[in-house]
Amino acid sequence: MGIGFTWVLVLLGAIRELLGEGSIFGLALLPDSFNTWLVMILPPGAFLTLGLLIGLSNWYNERRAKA
Amino acid sequence: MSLLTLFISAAIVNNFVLSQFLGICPFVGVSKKVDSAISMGLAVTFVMTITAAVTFLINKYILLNFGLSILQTVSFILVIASLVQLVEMFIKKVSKPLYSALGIYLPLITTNCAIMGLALFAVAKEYSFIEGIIYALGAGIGFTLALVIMAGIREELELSRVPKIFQGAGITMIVAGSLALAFMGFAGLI
Repeated sequence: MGIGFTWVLVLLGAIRELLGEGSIFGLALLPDSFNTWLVMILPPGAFLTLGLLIGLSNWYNERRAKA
Repeated sequence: MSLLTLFISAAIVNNFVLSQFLGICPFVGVSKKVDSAISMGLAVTFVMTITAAVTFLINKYILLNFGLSILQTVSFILVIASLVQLVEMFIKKVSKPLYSALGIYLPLITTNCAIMGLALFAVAKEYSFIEGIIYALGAGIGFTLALVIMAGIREELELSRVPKIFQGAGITMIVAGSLALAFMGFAGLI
């Protein structure tokens, strides 16, 4: 559970940093022309990203259960 | 800062749940019905207010007096745990249905980060006794407000067609995101 918590935290942080700052681990990845999404680094961004991740994981689990 | 500003700031502008992420677990867990949301909110408000008063006294007259501020975390947790035990016994005695509706989230108030956070914030910001109580009351009311709004929305969501993969926690987080966005509008209020 500890490891599961860690990687979700890292994934969440990576998505928010990429979209909110255009970088990962402080390393600029996206071109300067990319308009960063300010909302991602503010509180609502965390809730929205987590909600979408939960949906994604449900979708994946459902697909795997069917296969 | 006047007491009214302090209250509004804690309840709305710096809402514990929606802008500081404190106390998310009951926020998601107990927000299925408005009734249980109100009870949970009141239980948390009660624990918060008494905690603020007791921890202020302990901190000022025992810990700081004897240079023991290293024991803050331990002693605050002890205060919160005994208060929650009290509330739990009270609710179990008064209303069995409410007791089972709150379930695991009632004893979990003990380690609710909103309450511990409140005790530590009040110490860090050096609030006086009265300020601390008003701050706790504001934080508690703000928590109740967020919980009740969320429960109201979730009761409506039961009747709407949510995509299957988002049912439950997923849609709750997305709604919480929209609520947090709405509460950010209050940022300029104070």
